[in-house]
Amino acid sequence: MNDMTSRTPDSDMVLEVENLSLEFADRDKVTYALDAVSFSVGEGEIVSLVGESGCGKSVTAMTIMGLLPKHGARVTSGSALLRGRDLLHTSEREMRRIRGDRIGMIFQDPMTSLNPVHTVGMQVSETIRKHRRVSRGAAEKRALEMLDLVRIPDAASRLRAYPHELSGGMRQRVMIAMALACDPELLIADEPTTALDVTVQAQVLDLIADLRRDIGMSVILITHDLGVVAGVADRMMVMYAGRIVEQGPTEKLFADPAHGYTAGLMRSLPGVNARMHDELREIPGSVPRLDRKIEGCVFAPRCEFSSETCLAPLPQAQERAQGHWTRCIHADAVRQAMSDNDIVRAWA
Amino acid sequence: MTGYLVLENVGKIYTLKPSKIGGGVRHVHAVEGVNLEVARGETLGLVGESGCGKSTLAKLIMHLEVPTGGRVVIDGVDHSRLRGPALKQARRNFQMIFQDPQASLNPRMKARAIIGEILGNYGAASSQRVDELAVLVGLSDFHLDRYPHQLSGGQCQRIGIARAIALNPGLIIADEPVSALDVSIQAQILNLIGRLRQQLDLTMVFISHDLSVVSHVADRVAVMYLGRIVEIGGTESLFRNPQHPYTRMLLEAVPQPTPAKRHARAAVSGELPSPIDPPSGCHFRTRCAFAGDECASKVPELRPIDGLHRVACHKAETIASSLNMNVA
Repeated sequence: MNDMTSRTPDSDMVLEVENLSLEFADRDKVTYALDAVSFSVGEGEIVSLVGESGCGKSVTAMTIMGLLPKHGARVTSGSALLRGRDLLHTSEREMRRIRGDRIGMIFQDPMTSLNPVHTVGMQVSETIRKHRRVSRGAAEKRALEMLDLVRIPDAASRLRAYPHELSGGMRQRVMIAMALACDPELLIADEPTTALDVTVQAQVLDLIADLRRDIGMSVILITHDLGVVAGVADRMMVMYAGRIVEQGPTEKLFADPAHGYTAGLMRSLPGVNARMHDELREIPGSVPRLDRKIEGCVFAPRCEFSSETCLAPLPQAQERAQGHWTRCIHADAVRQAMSDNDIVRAWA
Repeated sequence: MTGYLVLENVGKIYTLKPSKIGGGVRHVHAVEGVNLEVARGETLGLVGESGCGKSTLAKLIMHLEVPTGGRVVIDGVDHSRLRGPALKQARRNFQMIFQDPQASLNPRMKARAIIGEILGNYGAASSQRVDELAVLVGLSDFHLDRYPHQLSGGQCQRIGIARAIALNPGLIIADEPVSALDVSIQAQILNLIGRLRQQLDLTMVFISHDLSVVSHVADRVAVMYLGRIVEIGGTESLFRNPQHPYTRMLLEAVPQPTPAKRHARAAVSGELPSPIDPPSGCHFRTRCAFAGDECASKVPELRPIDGLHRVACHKAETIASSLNMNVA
């Protein structure tokens, strides 16, 4: 894989990220933000990057989109192939053409991502005219279609509305309409529902799932919420301290988690499954600093399953079942312990 | 049951200035006719979407806002009658835990000083007490000598909790105390709050938009919609057997960490109307599939359904039986 440009991609993969490592350098300090991140997104597939703040999920997305600062951030290895084309070796000029056209993006806060002094109709059609040679009228017609597609009621009059006149849920729909206006092959959604109320969140998630079904788009969904992942994602990648520690089909990971961190996350969730007023199973300690390279398992210091071998350089990720990979060497012990867990039982 | 915290018909109306281009004075009915009793040692969960009046209610209880109607009584004392030093002394008894742990701490003070400050304000400055509090909330000397920006969100929230319990209050209002924290840290803080509640016999109002968090900590839960309590009851009764269509909608909207339940979710419709000009009668009728004439003309009162479980819905029985028929 040394000659990345000549590599023929798997035909059914929209995006393939291979062995991506990234550092942030700030004068004398280096932060190892991503360490050998590999995953792929298939045609019409919703995959989710899950993890806590600082685990590298947003940085992964920003790297793919080429939005990291030119100074300070350094890709030290790897590739990100969009239909075979390496985005990490693409000029800024080209990337500007790809973003918004072949890759759509939506972010957490729909208010700050929209321009407050332009109508939403103008903002959606601007995106279209940036990438397609169409008349103003045609772009507006397309903008109207898009607002209809994302189920904004009374779309024709909403075209003339300013962002502050819309509710949070409606703004996020406008963002989705903008992101999808040019029929992107891939939609990257970074915490798209975190700022929304549960009822509105449910509507936006349903919309994303329906759009995938109707227009077959591929989605990378970045979230910290396991409930959101369980609701819409086909596959999930669990990230911790800059690494993907476990990945596989969503149902498989919930039913049979094979990493100490995934298991810890699931057990610490309060809710209908945990018994009321019982102590929650906490994950002790906090996330490690990434100012040095960690050879062994990054989660070992907080893991109840860890042993001395965890601190030695880790073997490659092991495949436990079709498409289910873990970097945990105690996967069997984790599985044993999780077999009496309520969440797992609810699924099994 | 004589409540430790009693709210009697509490309301808060904010008046908006008339717009410069005409139109009259408008009013926001942030909280309307809320009656509540929380017993000593009990935790009441308060849930609802943003804009439903949860935080205004918290401010009214904390006497940070003065109600435009009704009264708030804590441990037999109505604070609206107090002024000056007497009010300050009374404030010892009710304290608050805030949502954003970092923003609610003074960035220029070390943890030790932040916890010490409130003791000093009440003439009880004592480094021994600060150490005692630190142990209670699980902080070490190492943390006490740090500034907030040097600590993680979870550690900052521990400082916020230490500050809240420093004066041995009887009542704690926790306004979204874990919503800014990561899942693994959230569990630590929820466990800490649970332990302290028992140890110190605290009465608590726990506000959260996260129903699974509330179901874990609360003894009873009140659901708010556009300034009114629409349903209240024991946590288990309310979550297992919701009576109000809004409560049902909220519960169905919660994403469950179980992929199997993926397709069980019913469609959620509509959005919260503006509290400036809320719908007449039942505020929820504009989003309710069961709404009838009665719902538009008459405000539903909270009425008992099953013991302590009460609901403000004209159609609760109709809805329950029609849903049961669907199941059968």
